[in-house]
Order: sequence, then C-alpha cells, then structure tokens
Amino acid sequence: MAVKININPFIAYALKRFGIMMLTFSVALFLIFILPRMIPGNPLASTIFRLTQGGITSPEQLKATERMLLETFKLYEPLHIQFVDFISKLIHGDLGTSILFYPLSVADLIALYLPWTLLLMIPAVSLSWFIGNYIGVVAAMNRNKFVDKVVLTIFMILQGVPPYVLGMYLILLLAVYMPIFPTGGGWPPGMVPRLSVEFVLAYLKHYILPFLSIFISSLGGWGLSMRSIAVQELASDYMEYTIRGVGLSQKKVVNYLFKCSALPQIVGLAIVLGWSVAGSVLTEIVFGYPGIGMIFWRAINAQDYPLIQGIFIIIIATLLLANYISELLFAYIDPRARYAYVGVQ
Amino acid sequence: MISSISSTIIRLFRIKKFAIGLLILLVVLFIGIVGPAIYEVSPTRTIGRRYVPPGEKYPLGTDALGRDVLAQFLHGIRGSLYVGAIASAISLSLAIFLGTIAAVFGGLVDKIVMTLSEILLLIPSILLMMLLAAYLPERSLWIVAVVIGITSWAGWCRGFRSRTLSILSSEFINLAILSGASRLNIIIRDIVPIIAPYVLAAFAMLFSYSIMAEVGLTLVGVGMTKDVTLGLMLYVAQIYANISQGIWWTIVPPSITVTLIFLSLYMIATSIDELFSYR
Repeated sequence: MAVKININPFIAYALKRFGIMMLTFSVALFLIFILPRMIPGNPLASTIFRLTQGGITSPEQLKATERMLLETFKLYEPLHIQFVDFISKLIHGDLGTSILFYPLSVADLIALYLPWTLLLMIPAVSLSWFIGNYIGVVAAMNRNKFVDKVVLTIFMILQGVPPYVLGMYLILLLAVYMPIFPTGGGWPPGMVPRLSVEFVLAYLKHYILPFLSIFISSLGGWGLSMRSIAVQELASDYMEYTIRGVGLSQKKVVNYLFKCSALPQIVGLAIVLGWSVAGSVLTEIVFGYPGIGMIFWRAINAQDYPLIQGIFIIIIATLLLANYISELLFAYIDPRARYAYVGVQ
Repeated sequence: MISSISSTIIRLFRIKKFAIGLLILLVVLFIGIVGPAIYEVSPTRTIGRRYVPPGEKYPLGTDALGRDVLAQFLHGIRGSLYVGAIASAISLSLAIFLGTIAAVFGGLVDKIVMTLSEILLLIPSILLMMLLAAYLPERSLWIVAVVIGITSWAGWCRGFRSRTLSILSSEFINLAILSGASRLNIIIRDIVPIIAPYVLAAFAMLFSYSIMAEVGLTLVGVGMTKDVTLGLMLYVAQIYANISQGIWWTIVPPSITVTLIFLSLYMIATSIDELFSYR
C-alpha cells in the first residue's frame, strides 16, 4: 500500500531551494578556504616576507602581525583541522582580525562600513527600478514612435556604460570642470560622522554624484526589460479590451500596465538589492566613498587576507539570501514555478 | 543551402543595428590589430615628463609615469581584445561541451553538470574571479583571461543544453536517422545550422562580458599586473587620482572604447537573436 504524503508544493519547493542554497554556500566557503592554501608560492608567506621588507618597521609589530596571520589561518595544522577550525569560528561569528586596521576585528569593520554602502545602494537601486520601469512602460505604449526610439537608444547606451565609468565622467564634469560637488570621499576630511544638520548636509553633497552614477546607469537595464514585458502584455486580449473597449485615458492605462508587468521585475529588484554590496565596490573605489567596497579595495592592495576573506563571506551570504527570497517570492506569485520544480500532484 | 545562408546574411545586414554594431567592432579591431604596428612607441617606457597634455609631440599626452598614452591606448585595445578572445573561447567551449554532453548523456552526467552550473550561477562569477585572482601573486593577460573564462560558462551551458534537448527530440532528426543519414551528416546538415546563430550570439555576449570583467577586475586591483589593457590604463589613472586632477586624456579614451566594444557586440548579439528567434 502506497502511502501518499501530501506536502504543500510551496513548502516542498522552499525546502528544495534551501538545500541548493546551503550546498552553494558550502561550496563557496570551501573555495574561500582552499584557494589561499592551494596556490603555489604561498601568498601568506609572501605577505609576511613583504611585511618584513617594508611597511612595518618595528619587530614587535611584525611579530604581532605574523602571529595574527598564523592564528587566523592556522597553517601549521593539518588541512582538515584547519577546515574544522575555520567553520567553527565562522559559526561563532569570528571572522578574524584585520591586518590593515589592526586591532579592529573583521566583523567590527564590516559592521562599521556596511551601513554606508546600504545607504548609497538601496535608495539608488530602488529609485532607478521605479523610474526605469515607468519609462519602459511609456516606451512600450508608444512602440515604434519617436519617443520609443529615443528611449531605446539612450537605454541601450546606458547599458554599455558601467556605473564606475559614468562616475568618472560625472566627477570630471561636475566636480572638476564645474566644481559644484566634491571629487570624492564621504564627508569633508576632519569631520566626524554624527547626526547634526551640518554633517548631514556635507554628507549629502558627497552623496549626490555616486548616487547619480548608480541611479542613471541602472535605468537602462530596467527600462529595456520592462519595455519588452509590457509590449507582450499589451498584445494580450484583456489589454486590447481595456484600451479599445473601455477607452481608459492614456495615463490610467500606463498605471495599469505598470502594475501588470511589474511582478517579474519585483523579483529582479530583490536580486539586484542582494547584489548591492558586490555591485557598489567599483563605484565606491572611483568616488572614494567609505563603504564596504572601499575597505575591500584597501584590503586587496594591502593583501589583508582575513579582511578579504571576511568580506567575501558576507557578500556571498547576502547574495544567496537575496536570491533565495526572490525565488520564494516568485514561486509565491507564480504557481507554475513551484509546480515545475516539484511536479503537479 | 548556400543560397539560404547568403539570403540570411543579407537579411542580417538589412538590420541597421547589426550593420552599425559590426562597423564599430571592425574599426576597434582594426585599431587594435594595426595600431601598435604603425605607432611604434613603447607603451611601458617612460618617454617624457608626466601629465603632458595631448599635443604635437604626444598625440594623447603622457600619463602619471611619463608614458605615451596613445601607445598605451593602442596596446591596451589589443590587450583587451586578447583577453576577450581567450576568455570567451574558453567559456564558450566549456558551455558547448558541458551543455551538449549533459543533454546527450542525461542521467547522472546531466545532474552533475546542472548542479555545478546552478552553483556557479548563484556565486557571481565576478566574485569568483576576484577570489581566484586575489590569491595569484602575478597576473598576466593569460591568467586573467583563463580566470574569466572558467568562471563564466554556466548560464550559456544551460542554454546549449536546452537547445540540444529540443533538437534531439524534434521530428526531423528522427526522420534523418530513419532515412539512413550518417551521424556526421546529421550534425553538419541539421544541427549546426540551427545552433550556429546561437553560438555566434553567445560568443558576442561572452566577448563583451569578458572585456568588461577584465576592466572591473583590474580596477579593483586583482586584475592585470603585467600586460597593458584598457583596464590597466583606468587602474593607473585611478591610483594616481587623475580624475580629480582633471587629467581626462588618460581616462576618456579607454572608457569610451570599452563602452563602444560592449555596445557593438550587444547590438550584434541582439540582432542575431531577433532574426533567428522569430522564425
């Protein structure tokens, strides 16, 4: 007698995707663990060697750095014990100590700089999602007309201009030739972040250019994908009915179309927000904006391996989580996705 | 057969987007291939004062280390094109090979390839590249290209798998087998014409993606350290804070070229896609 277990397909789908996510995270952790230990020439040893050559002059400091590197990576132990140690430290939230910002811990550094990255990325990405999609719908409504062609060309060019390149141009134009905004940084040197009118105003002045470069350069992608979704949507019978039959005004149709076509785009927004930490690295470097990307860059240039490793783990964890949430969101909205995975019972 | 191919090509050239894209790409290719041979100035030797603006002596000025920017630019285009070609060749072959064997063999092979590509899709390749490159002490053009190539095949691999599956299950293949055509004959006459445009589009997209990826990697500081590419030019300009000093000649030429390469390949790939997906 076959026992038929009825599991809610949504839960089955959620569990399966969770499994894939954890598998991926394990693979990523394994790669993060094994790569610095496998590469010939032992980058850790060469880092210590480099430190003896210059930079750190006092022998005590060198000893401390060496001890810290060995403590973080435990290279004298056999590989499997190193791995167990790596994982157990991670579970306890211990990401080690930074070399560059000694004696700050990696976790503290990330907690210190992450808010600035989120403060930049979340408003810029969300706003460009909204406006890009809206323009996409308007372009679809005016398909093959002049407006559509202009929008299409501009959006296509924007797609080919990465935010950091746009940022370089914005600095050249609006900070060097027309010195309206500062060329970089998060706030004037010497100022300490605190909640005062003076600081917020100074921060906003530094904020506008990086914000604009991310906002403008992501418009293209949203607009183009939204346009093609909306064009398909417009061809459907019920839209035909709404426009020709009911005779709604243009503005109302645009609003309606926006809502209909936005669903798949919401999923995209979740993914891109998850990307924001990884995606802002280059823009932050160009602007010298004090976020995660900036300290990542400094960590790489100083070969601060504990910090590099910690930032990788954080970025991958946020990405996987955002991706998982977007998958659940999509399955919740569209039942076909979950049935495709577990099969219709 | 021949006439159908030529009529397809004629139709492709009628698409304005394709013609413009191809024209831009050919110009960039020409500059990258012929440029360094005509303009015989070393891109890595200091030849004058630093930051000489563009003028008669140095057509594009000099950079932070007193090197000729035009020579850097020409060699940089060549270097970037090399990276794009090597990386996209690697990832395209991996994608085609793995996608096809997954579809043909099915079963366990299919499961392994699919899981592997799913994991690779979830971990963004740019991060994997950074991770790989961060731990490699010296990075030449080849190393960077190989790193980009082996991390960016996953999405296209899935595409090739589903294309192959749909071809294998279609009627005309069964008919061809029944009519006694040889395997080689089937592959050349039936499968290649269907898959060729897709390969071409994939190559164009991977090529532009690889060039962009190199610029990104190098700008972060985990890319090129030895050979001159467009990414390295921007990296040097960034390191010496050329932008905030208003030294545009080290920034504008490489960044515009990167955008042009991306746009031209994007135009080519989307035109191919549009033409063949509506048949």
